[in-house]
Amino acid sequence: MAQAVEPGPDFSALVENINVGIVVVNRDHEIVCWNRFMAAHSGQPADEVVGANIFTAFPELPERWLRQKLRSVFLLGHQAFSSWEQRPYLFKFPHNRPITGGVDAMRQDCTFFPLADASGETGYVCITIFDMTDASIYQERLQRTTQELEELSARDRLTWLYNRGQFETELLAAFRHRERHGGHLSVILLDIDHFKTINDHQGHDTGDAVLRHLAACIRNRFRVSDVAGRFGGEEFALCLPETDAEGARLAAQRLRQEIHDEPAVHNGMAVSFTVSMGVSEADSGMPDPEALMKEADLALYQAKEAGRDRIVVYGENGAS
Amino acid sequence: MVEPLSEDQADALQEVTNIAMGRAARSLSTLLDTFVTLAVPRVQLVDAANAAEAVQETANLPDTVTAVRQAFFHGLRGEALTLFAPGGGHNVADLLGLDADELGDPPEDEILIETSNILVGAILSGLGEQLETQFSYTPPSIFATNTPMDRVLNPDDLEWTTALLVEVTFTLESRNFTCHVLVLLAENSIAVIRQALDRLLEEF
Repeated sequence: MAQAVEPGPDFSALVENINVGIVVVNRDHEIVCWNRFMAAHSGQPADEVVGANIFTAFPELPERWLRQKLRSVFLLGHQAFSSWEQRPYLFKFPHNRPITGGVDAMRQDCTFFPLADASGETGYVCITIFDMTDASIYQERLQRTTQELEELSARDRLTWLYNRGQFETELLAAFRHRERHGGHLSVILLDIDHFKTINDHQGHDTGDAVLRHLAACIRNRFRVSDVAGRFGGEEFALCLPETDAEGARLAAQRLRQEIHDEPAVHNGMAVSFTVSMGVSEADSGMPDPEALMKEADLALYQAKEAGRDRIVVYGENGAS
Repeated sequence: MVEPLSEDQADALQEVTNIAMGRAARSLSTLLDTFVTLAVPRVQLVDAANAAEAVQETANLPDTVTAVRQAFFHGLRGEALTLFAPGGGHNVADLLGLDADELGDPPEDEILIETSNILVGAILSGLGEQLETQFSYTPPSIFATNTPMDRVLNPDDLEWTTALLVEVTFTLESRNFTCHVLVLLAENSIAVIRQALDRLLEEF
């Protein structure tokens, strides 16, 4: 800092009043400076802590870590840092957001830098403490919002099943996993029979109720590891890891039965509907998940052709 | 286009760096209470386009690295990147006074940031002393996690076209720990270095 010609302000008042914590310790770790920020947040006035060993005055400090930090500054003569992102705080202070905070203590960024004594040698380390609580809360909110947006962009808004894009991402991962580790992988492609008629004759509200009811049945019926997606309109898809074609057929049958037994309800009225399903199991000859989906689609087509309300496994009963 | 360093300048710079690293290694040995080596395999001018390749060539790095970044300014401007092999940090945690049970999440970040800060500080204050300049630093932060080298130094993301690269390899043999510090000096700092080197050469 350049020396002013005129006497200038009292710099100790600057240290005292600045809205940053300033602590200076000597080589014996005795506190030689403790500004108002520190006094106000710790509840310990300067005249009580100045002259005291910092670890005696504040036994809750991370002693081993701080000793080594101070040592590195004394020894190497350069700055050291500590960020709230790795270490939330050095001094545990209440923060100024008692109502809106959601954090337990003031988040702090700290800088440690050497200060020379009268002889020009590093005789002291100055610790500055910045209140990062607001920044940490905003970052937390931002992360939460980003997560919610990611969730939102992966889901179909009506049924809250995965949308087509996310389903395809999940299916690709399952497909690659099977390629590397072996095992079974099956898909079910499902289509609601005569959905257009339900929409046209009973209204779109009823159609939506049917879609939501079907999504609920799927969620009840399948494992967490199974992935369900709404493919568009009235088409749904399921990806079943560790399941062979026979297992997938049984799962499909149980789903079909549940839909028979428990129709959708809209405005107090039961709305019966049926579904057709095509099942296919992955085999080593398949280059990509699209080939697997294509087989399931052919099986579904055959189920429709054969009169709907049924399940066809690709390659069975002449289906090919 | 930056004019390359003359042979004398390059020799002087290599020499200055070696002296600086010797000093830095001694303070680090005292601080960490264990024998450390700081090797300077190469000081060179690099183009942004082939920076990643140049680093990979000398540093013998793993496929992916975690990088800590710290900028310095004042006398010389530039950035330092410390490259770590993933997962190695735990070997040195106790040397930094870090206990596994009191570390934040993810715990390795703090170890790497701490290691990087000490190394970069020691290296730059050593260099600064030799070149009679001082530095101010920004706090270090995680720059990339488990990332391939060509994405850490992706030419499309680099602001500069030419930089002076000082590579330093830090080894703690007793802990089986190695990391690489890349000190990249910005184009407009190269002229400052050149002058400092010429001053040194005149003194000889």
